[in-house]
Amino acid sequence: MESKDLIIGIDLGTTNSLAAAVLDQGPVALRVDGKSPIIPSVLSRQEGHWAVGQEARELRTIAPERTVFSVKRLMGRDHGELAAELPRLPYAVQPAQRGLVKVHIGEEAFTPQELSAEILSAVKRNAEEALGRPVARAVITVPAYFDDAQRQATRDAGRIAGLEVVRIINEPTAAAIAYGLDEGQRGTVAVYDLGGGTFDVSVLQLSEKVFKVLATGGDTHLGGDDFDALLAAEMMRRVQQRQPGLSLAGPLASQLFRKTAELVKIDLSRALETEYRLDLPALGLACQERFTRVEFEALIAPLVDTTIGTCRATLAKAGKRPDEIADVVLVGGSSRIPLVRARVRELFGRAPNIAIDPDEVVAIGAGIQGHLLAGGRRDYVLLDVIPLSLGIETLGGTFSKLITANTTIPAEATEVFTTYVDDQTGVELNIYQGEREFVKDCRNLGRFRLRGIPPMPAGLPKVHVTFLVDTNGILTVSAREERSGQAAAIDVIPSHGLTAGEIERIMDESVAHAQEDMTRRQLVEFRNMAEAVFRGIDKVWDQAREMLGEAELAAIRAQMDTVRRQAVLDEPLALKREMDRLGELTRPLADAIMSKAALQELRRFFRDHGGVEMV
Amino acid sequence: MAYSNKVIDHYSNPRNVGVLDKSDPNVGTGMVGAPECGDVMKLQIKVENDVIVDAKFKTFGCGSAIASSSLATEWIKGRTVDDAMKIRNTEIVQELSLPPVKIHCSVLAEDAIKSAIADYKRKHGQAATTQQQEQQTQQQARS
Amino acid sequence: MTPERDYFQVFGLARGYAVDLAELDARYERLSFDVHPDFFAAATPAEKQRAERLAAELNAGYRTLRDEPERAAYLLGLLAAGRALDTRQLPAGFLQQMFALQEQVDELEAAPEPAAKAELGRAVAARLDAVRAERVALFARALAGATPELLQALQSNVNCEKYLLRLQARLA
Repeated sequence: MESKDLIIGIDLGTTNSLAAAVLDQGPVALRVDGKSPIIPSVLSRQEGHWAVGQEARELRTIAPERTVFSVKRLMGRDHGELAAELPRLPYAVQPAQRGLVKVHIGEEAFTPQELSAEILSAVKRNAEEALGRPVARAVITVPAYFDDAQRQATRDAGRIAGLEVVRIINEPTAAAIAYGLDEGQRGTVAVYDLGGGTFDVSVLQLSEKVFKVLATGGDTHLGGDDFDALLAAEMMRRVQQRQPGLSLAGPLASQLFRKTAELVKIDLSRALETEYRLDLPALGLACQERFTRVEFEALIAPLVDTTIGTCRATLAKAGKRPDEIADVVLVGGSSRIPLVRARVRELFGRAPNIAIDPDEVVAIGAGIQGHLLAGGRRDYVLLDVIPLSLGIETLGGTFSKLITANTTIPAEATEVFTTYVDDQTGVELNIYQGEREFVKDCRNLGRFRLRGIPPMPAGLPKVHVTFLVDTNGILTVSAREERSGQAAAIDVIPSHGLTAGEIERIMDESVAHAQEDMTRRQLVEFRNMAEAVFRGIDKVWDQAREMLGEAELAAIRAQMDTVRRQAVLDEPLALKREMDRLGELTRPLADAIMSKAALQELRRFFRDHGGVEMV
Repeated sequence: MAYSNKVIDHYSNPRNVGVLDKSDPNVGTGMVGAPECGDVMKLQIKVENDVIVDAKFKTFGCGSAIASSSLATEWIKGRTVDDAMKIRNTEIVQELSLPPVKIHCSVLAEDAIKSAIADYKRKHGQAATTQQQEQQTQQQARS
Repeated sequence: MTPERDYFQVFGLARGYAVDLAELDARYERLSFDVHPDFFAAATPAEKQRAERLAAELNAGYRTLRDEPERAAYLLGLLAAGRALDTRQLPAGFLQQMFALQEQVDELEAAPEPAAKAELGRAVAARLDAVRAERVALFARALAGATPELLQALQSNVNCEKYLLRLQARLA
């Protein structure tokens, strides 16, 4: 398949992200040289540049206020909604315009979309390296319970990362695709997806050719993060109890406890108890502690029970009893916790299915959907639903639903609006999403201002407003005045998202940044390569003196100096040119040296660092 | 918020919920329904010297229907019967800023007033004056 | 939406109250392959938009025809073809009965009595069955010749079901 046709699938997770694609051998997670395909969704600001992934993860306890994790929980949310969890984040989150938040690091501030875009860029680079070709298009997964604002934020992040986001797809649905196609599963299936920051449950009807979501439920702020936080708080409480004088305030301590809690949690999925050390010399903290699985389960049981309650409600919405479910699929890292598995087994009366790696299954399903979108297959159709009802603000702040939750998408609703005052030319609509009776308990998606209604007596204009929720679960609104046939203009004032102008500005900036980052990366790469080549030449220099003429040796020496001089300048391409020249000059040397070891040494250096051919 | 406190109040603290004695000759009872959503509304008036001195309602329905009936009972108290007949659903729509999807709730309240007045007039042997009243009266008579 | 065609035409089904659900499912599946936007990822924005709207129409049609009360209201609308019906008409005394039943549910909510609640639930279910049986007969006649009387009787029938469903939801 041509690379331009390839559409990869990206699981943009709270804790981890990765890409998958359908290759000749089938759907696979994209990994470089057998390494893990997983890129931790962590980024750290270092001297004006981003470190992303494992490297950033290590920096969590070293530079906590410059290291950002769990960005996904900030996506499409405003400061008020995040009030409960902001205090436990070591980095600074401040309100920004129109309900947006920004993460402040030093003098700089970033929207969650920009931060997610950095993670997506890292995933994209990794995918490109794995595939050996550029990637332009992607399917990105979101929790099924993400609302319109969160979906738009995700799509915008993709755009900022330079990806054409062909489709936003729900995580449990993606998992169901992977299972449905890999295992040939049929009948009613439940997907229980407990990730780092979000919980989803979807009930699907799988037939030969149709994957139809019957109902979905969840909580976009419930996941492994919350377990870590509970565990860390309990660990801190215990230390504090024994050493009341110790001051454990500040990001350094909180990150140490969080990081340790994460490890303890993972250990307790395998062992019934675990020991851990907490060392923070700066605060005078040094202790050895123990935690048992029973203690951990007591801590998290209320949250796990919440997810089981959501499962019951979602089954009811799907019109199914637990015993009608043919299979229960577990997805997400947190589904490895024994208590979670036990509770799921209890509810459905069957052992959950974990045949496909719960960390990879979502990306793989997205990759398969990407393959379908690229035209690689057309043997199944995916029918998903809108997770939350969508409607408008009415009387006294009440919420009037236009499209109800669990309606198959795309879905359309048309409402007729009129004017209350003579010659009124505009009507304003407040759009909300949620299940509660009052709009104050629902999410405001934005204001829609209809303009250009022809002046008429009050009540006469009939403005047909069409609300279309597309396959991505994202709303578009259009309007037409019936009497005049005029299309009314609509101004959308998003409550949480970025405007088109803002996205454009960020993209312009990020293109500039990307070039800058690229230059820097290349320079580092070429400098390392030069060092390696010099070492290789030094190793064989004695042999070279015997084999080559004085002039040839001098030329090599001179070119090495040239490379050294060039290496301190910020011009990667010029450096590359000089490196290539050195490669040419050392070619006779390589040819001449019969020592296989030396030749291999050189070959290995050049192969590993790419670019320069050696025979 | 774009709505007055008074409106929110009608929603959260509906006035005049209750019943009047149906057998009292001075009490008129109206019963109407909205098939759009299955709402049922009962509205009663007590008339002395052609003036509505009391009004009560009970509505099984959504918030808009409850607020519309609450507002309607507030408005008709102290009015003459003829004055009360003049209340139009559009006034309720405007007062409560009802959206198109909820206009039927205001229609329900207007119909309930008319139905109650028709019942009162029937008890006092007065002829109904409009076709709509006749229909309402017949419906009452049938029940 | 393309109002030129009704949902029966969208699915290529004969207009009628009885719908073969297995056939409806099969056609829904087949038509989804024709219009679902996922098969138009490489198309122009206008074509993609068209696919979104056609798929939305297909989904709405499926939802309407699959559900009996919705199908009944929809079919009645088609048969009435713009003729004005009294949209609120009900059999005499029906509203009073509904009001009384609603009050009974209120009392059961205040002081739960499972046996009484179950009995009330059965009574409501029996009335719903009667309403639906009457509807089948009315539609059969209306499809042969839609007189104003038949249409009005159907409207009344559809209305009754709404009130009963509302009661049933409270009793569930």
